[in-house]
Formats: sequence, C-alpha cells, structure tokens
Amino acid sequence: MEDRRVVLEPIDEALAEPVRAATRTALEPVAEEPAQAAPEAPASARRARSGLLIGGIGLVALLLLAQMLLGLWRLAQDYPLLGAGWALALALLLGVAGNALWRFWRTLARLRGRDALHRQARFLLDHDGVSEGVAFCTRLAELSGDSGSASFQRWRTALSATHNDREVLALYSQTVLVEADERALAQVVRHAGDVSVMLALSRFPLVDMLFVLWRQLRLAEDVARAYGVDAGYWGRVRLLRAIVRNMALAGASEVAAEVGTQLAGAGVIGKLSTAAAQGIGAGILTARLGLRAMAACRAIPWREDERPRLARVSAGMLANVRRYLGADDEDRERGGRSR
Amino acid sequence: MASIADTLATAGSLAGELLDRALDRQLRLAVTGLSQSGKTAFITALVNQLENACAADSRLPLWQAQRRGRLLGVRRVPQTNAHIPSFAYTAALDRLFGDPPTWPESTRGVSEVRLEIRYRPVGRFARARGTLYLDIVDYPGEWLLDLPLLRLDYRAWSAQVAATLTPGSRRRDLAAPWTSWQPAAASPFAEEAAAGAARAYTAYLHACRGQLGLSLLQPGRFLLPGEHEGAPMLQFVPWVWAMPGDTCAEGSTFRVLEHRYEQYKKHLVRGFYRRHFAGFDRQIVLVDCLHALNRGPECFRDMQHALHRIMESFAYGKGNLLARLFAPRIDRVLFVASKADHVTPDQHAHLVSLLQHLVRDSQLVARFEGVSTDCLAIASVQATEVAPGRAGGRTLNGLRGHALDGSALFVRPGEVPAAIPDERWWRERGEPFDSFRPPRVEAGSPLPHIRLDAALEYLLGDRLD
Repeated sequence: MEDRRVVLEPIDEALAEPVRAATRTALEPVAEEPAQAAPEAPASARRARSGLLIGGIGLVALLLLAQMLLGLWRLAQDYPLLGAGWALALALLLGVAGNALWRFWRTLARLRGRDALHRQARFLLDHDGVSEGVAFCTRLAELSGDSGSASFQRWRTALSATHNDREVLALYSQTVLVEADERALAQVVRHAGDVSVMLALSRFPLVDMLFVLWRQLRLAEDVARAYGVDAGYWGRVRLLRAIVRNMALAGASEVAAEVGTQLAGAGVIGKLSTAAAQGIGAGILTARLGLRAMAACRAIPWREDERPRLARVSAGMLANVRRYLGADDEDRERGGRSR
Repeated sequence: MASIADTLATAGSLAGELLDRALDRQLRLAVTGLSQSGKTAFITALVNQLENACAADSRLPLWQAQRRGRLLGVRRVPQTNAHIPSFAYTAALDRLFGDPPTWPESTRGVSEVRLEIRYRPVGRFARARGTLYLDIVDYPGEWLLDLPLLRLDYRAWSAQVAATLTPGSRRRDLAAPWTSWQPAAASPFAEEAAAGAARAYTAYLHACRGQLGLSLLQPGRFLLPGEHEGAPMLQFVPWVWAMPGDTCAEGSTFRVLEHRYEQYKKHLVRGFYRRHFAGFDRQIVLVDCLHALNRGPECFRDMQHALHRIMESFAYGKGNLLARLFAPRIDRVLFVASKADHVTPDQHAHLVSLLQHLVRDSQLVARFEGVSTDCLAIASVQATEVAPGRAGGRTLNGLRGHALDGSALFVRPGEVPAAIPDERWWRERGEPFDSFRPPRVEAGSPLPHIRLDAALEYLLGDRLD
C-alpha cells in the first residue's frame, strides 16, 4: 500500500510526536537476535590450542617465579637490604595486579548486555535505513555523557532530515567521537611509554610481567573511561586474553634476550641496550593493546582511513622513552668510543 | 652591496612564488547528463554552496575539509580558457532566487566556470596555504552519444537509422516529413532541398525527444548545435532510401551528404573529444531516473541504452577508439541520481540501487581500468521539505513543496524500484512522481540541498589534503 503515491494532510505537532517516539523506541529489538551465535563458537581445535597456550603461559610463569626467587636469594646473600627491598616491591606489585585482575573479572559478569550497542552500530552502518540513526547516537551520547558537550551540539546542527543512518553515524563519529579518540590516544601513549621505560630499567622478569599486567589493565580502563562507554563483554574477554598474551611475551622475550646477550658475551653496555630494546618492544605491544581497547570501546567502528595508526602512537611513546633514557644512550656512546 | 642583497632577496621571493604556483593545483571537473537531468541547477547550486562554504550558515557537514575548518575561502575567478563560453551563473542564480523561483535554463553547449579554493593543507611538510583552481565544465551528455558514430561510415549509420523506423511505429509517423524527400542518389546536389530535409530531420529528432521522451538520438549536435548552427556539416540526413552502388559521381546528392557526415564526425565528434574531453580530471554524470520512470518503459529502456553509450566514453580499454585518440586522465566518475528531493528519504537507497543497476556494466569496466566510481542520490536544490502527514487514518512521512505551477503540494510519492523495473512493475505502477518548483530562499543564504557535500567530498576530498 505504501508504494503508491498518497496525498497527505497536515497533522499538528502533538500527533507527530508519537510517530517519532515510536521510531525511537523501536531501537532496542533490532540488534538483539544475532547476538549469541556471532563471536565465540569455535571448534574444539581452538579450545585445545588455547589450552596449550594457557599451559605454556603457566609453565613460563612458574619458571620465571623460580628464577626470580633464585635471583632474589642470591641478591639477598650479597646485599640483604636490597634483596628485602625487591621482595617488598614484588609483593606490592603482586597485590596491586591481583586486585586489578579481580576487579576486571567482577565487572565482566555485569557487562554481557552492552555488546548490543556495537552490533546495532554495525547494523545501521551496513543498512540504508533512515529512521534510527539520530535516536541511536542520542542514546550513545547520553550513555557516554557527551550530550551536553559542544561537539554534540555541533553534530545536532549539522543534521538534516535527509541524512540516512549511515551519514548520521559517520557525522557523529567524526564530530563527537574524534574528541574521545584524542583523549584515549593520549592515555595509550602515556601507558605505553611507562611500560617501555619500566621494562628498560627493571631487572626481574616477574616484576616486568606483573607491571605489564597492571599497566595494561589500567590502560583498558582508562581508554574505556575516555569513551564513557564500557568495552562490552566480549570486548573485555578479548582484551584480557590479549593482555595475558602480552604479559607472557614480556616475560619470555626477557628470558630470550638474556640468554642471547650471555651467548654473545656482551658486557654491561650490551645488556643496557637490550633492556632498552625490550622496553620499547613491550611498549609497542602495549600500544597495540591500547588501540585494540579503543576499537572495543568505540561504539561506532572507524572507517578504514580514520583508524589511528600504531606508528603515530609509537612515535609519541619513543619520545617518552628517549626523555627517560637519554642519559643511558649517552653512556653507551661514550663507552663505544672509549673502546 | 646593498643592491646585490636586494636582488638576491627579490630573486628568492620570486622563486618562492614560482614554487607556490607550481604547487598550486588545478582540477577540471566535467558535469554531464542527458537533457533535463539537472546539470545547470547542479552547477549553480555547487558554485553557490562553495561560495558560501565558509559562511557561518553553511551546511556541508559531509565535506571533511569544510567540517574540519580547513577551508579558507572560495571565490569565482576569470577562466583561463577564453574560447569556452562562461557558465551563466548569475542568471541562473537570479532565477532560483526570483519571485516566484524557477529552475535555471538548460544547457545549450559547453560552458565553464572557474573557482579558486583556498585551504589549509595537512601533513608534516604542509605549506601554510594551498590553492586549488577548480574548473567546472558543463556539456550536454547528448554529445557523448555521437561517439559510436566514429566507428560507422555513412552507409552503416543510415542503415542503423532505417532500422529504427519500423512500419507502424510512432517514430515512422514522426519521420514522414523528411523521409518524403525521396532524392535521387546520383542527381546533382540541390542545396535548398537538402537544407529543408535537414530541418525536417532536426524537427523529427526534437519530436522524438519531446513527444516520445527518447534520449538516444543521433547526431546529437542537431539537437544542440551551439555555435555551429547553420553550418553545412549540420545539414545532412541519413540515407534511408534505396542504397546506391559505388558509382555515384563527385557532387551527387549521396556523395555530398556522405561528405558532410564525415565532416561532422571529424570536426564535431572528434573535435569535442580532443578539445574538451581529454582535459577532464573528474566526471560527474547526472541521471534523472524519476523522469524516465514517469515516461514509461520505452523511454526508460532508451535512457538505459543512452547511458550505456555515454559510459562507453569513460571505459578506456586498450582497443578503445578513445584510447587511440588521446590519453584520457579521468580518474573518478561519480554517477548521481538527481532530484532525490522528489522522493522521501527512505527511498534514496532505492534510487541509488536503481542507478547502480543502470550503470553496472560501465562501473565494472571503469573499475577494471583503474577509474574509481561511486553512486549517490542528491538534490542540487532541495525543493521539498520532509514532514509527517496524515492519509486515511495513518501517519506517513511526506514531502511538502510547490508544484511547477505554484500550487502547494503535500504528498508521499510512490516507491522507487530498487532494480530495473520489470513488466509487472510497469503494469502496476501508481501515479507519476511530482515535479516541484525551487523553494523560496532568502537572498544571500545558501540554497538547501541533499548530499551535495558528499559529492564534493568524493570529487574534491583527496585534492584538499
């Protein structure tokens, strides 16, 4: 019936209202159904692989713990005070990291519902609808606390009745969400810089692992706060998995680097530079995780050309590292010349 | 010493200026479409939007350079190609802002308008200010329909025309005035009789377009002769009578007509491609799908064929005739379904989908040749506003505006088919889509539009970085 031309009569605004309200409330059910099947329904092969991964990570952690205790024991024999200090630091970090992990798991359980936003955004971007975009973005702004911001007002004035949902979402993404992008990116740069400096300075693999774990959990939370939206259940699961993997890599790369330098018979100088390289490596891993966290928290996915690049983050991070480690570099240069 | 230093300083600034000029870029944007597809309105609206792009009330949010505030200003400047007529921008604008507002007069030939766009470039090594000179060139799409003539000689073309005059068809009835000429092929050429027949043939082409709504009419220049009106190369007719053998002498009627046909091909068809087409960087093709849907299946199919012919000009295969004529450099083609404001926004997706079906083949070829293409539904000047209204107890989104005669109109137009309509659609189609007159806009404020900013982003976006 609606495909025919109809001459319309004007209606007063009071009657127009329910129409709009109807389109507004029609939002919820759209994205509910394709929910459960989508993300994690892998074959048993993947489960076996992840079992192996967890086993491997556990083994590495155990070995590292043993090595750590051995190192501490040796250190305590030579310098008792220093050993006690390290033991205290380790215990503190362990406590902080454990606490962060516990909080993270607890929130996980409450967040199952939030993935709907992502699915709905994707649905609106993929379909040529015209009625739901504005209501969706307004709800997003309410959820993230952006609805009073200047950028939100700019978005509202830029809208017209002829924009389709995709254009409405793209405009929202490019007007309102870019500001959150900037805030989140600043957090990523900061945390990645911290991780790389810390790993370049520290000497104990287990401390490194815990530090990486702690910083990356904080990073995920800070990024989520920048967007004012929670990462969503699956987003968090994926992030946590990535964090654990990064943590293991931080430890493993350290062991490998240590063996490598010893084999090469390098002195203190060589060790310093491998530590710096390791720090930067871990920093880049952290930055990657930060970008992943941003993607998980951003309600409307980036277009391919808007995606922030790792290169941009690592450039900022390297500037940080250079500021902290500048003295070491000079030492090394001097050492190289004297040789 | 001081004078040497002065000279060096002058030389330095001169070099900088030269470098700037070398870095300043220009872009030739060609606008075409079959007649009545809204070319003039499009260019007028585009220039109007660009001139107002930096004003506080500009509405081009989908154009990134504008939204990010990188645009410093746009103004019209004198064109560099003095031999091309200027686009009558002011006259068209006067009509749009007139009382009552009317649509601008249609394209009659090539015309051009030049704009200077100043912007703030991005990137690490960006200059403080960039300038892009944008030449917008308007030309009738009918001229592109002549391209296939290059492959046909007079006899083959005549045979093709004769085949369209099937007995009993309306075309044959309309053609009666010139087919009744009945010249003898070998007799000496009679100027007056031939000119009369050519006039009758031109009238026939106009009748085909006006009464039958056809677009695929050759030679295209007969309909829009431009500055060549009255030239002998525009005075010939296809030979639809008994084809003579090879024995016609020089100066005979058949020979002279054949010669004029060849002259037409050489000077007008080839000349257009060499002088204009080869220099275009970007192309926008306007298609009025709604008009064709209103006119019926025959007209729609004819438009489909005509579009296909037009697209052949953009498909630069190795064996293509055009590739041998020149090295074309168009790298983006935007297909636009114009007059999107004549349907409700929920139908825009269907309009785009219909357009995609219409230009599908040529899009594939263009992509293969490395030319990027896109389809959009736009309205250069938004003549209607979207408002909810009531019909039979239901509340529907409709369009509020004024018909061409000025009467108020508040309707929900029918659905646009999302693909090439089939027999059933034609059988069951409802009332035709209404035409609207331009809206009343306060003088000085930018014209309302639909997605012109998206078109600008596609056509200019990458050149303003």
